[in-house]
Amino acid sequence: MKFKKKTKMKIAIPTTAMPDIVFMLIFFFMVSSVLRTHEGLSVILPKAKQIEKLESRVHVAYLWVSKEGMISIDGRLFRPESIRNIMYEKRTADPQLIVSIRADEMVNMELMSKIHKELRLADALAVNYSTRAM
Amino acid sequence: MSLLKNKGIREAEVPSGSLADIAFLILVFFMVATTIDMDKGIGVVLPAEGGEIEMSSKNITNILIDARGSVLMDNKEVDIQDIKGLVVDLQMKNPKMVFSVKAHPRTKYKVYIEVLDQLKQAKTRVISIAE
Repeated sequence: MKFKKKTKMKIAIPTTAMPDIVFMLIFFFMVSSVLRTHEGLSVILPKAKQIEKLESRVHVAYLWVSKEGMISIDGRLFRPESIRNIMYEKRTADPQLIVSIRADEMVNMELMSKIHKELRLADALAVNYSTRAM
Repeated sequence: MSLLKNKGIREAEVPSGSLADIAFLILVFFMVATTIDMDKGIGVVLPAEGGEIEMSSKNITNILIDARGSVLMDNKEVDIQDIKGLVVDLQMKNPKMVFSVKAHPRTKYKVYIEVLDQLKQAKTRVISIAE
């Protein structure tokens, strides 16, 4: 009789903690998806078909240009003439820097030319015009 | 007597066996619904300051955009949608062709991006941005 009892023994992986683990994962995804909101100006990006992804997210500096002609970098407003200093600092800190220009579609090219000029002076030549997919 | 006793001990329990399944469903939903917003756009490399290069004019196609948003390509007015085809033809004829985009100060950024997009669609290697 005693031997019979032993054969009845079951081996089971404890699954009681599984919902807890899964809930933790849920919270992680919920929180991380909310955290990645851009701080910048409200812009309507232009549309384009042939778009490419930015290779990295680490080596990116965002430059926001609003319809009214305001320029924002890292949540602070700047005049066009001061871009060169800011970008030069960023550029020396990170030689692989790509400047992602998030400009409103109604911005005049006069301002964009100024920004181009400033970026060239700062030697920040890799530029990505942020667009929406069509 | 025994019936009554049994009733007293009876426990009410919420079945928790499928809780993990529900949690997994929600997890999968969030994973799918979360768009990891990758930044997309048109990549260009600006010319270095003072690094202007002299070029033979036959290797350059000028694309001018005026304030109203109409596009002149080699002094002929073209539709923005036609640029891609024209550029592909020009590249077939002359692989060294460089496309120079020049915009009027009052051109809208939107038109400029549309033109750059057309050039990118035509797999142009060299795009020059004239100031």
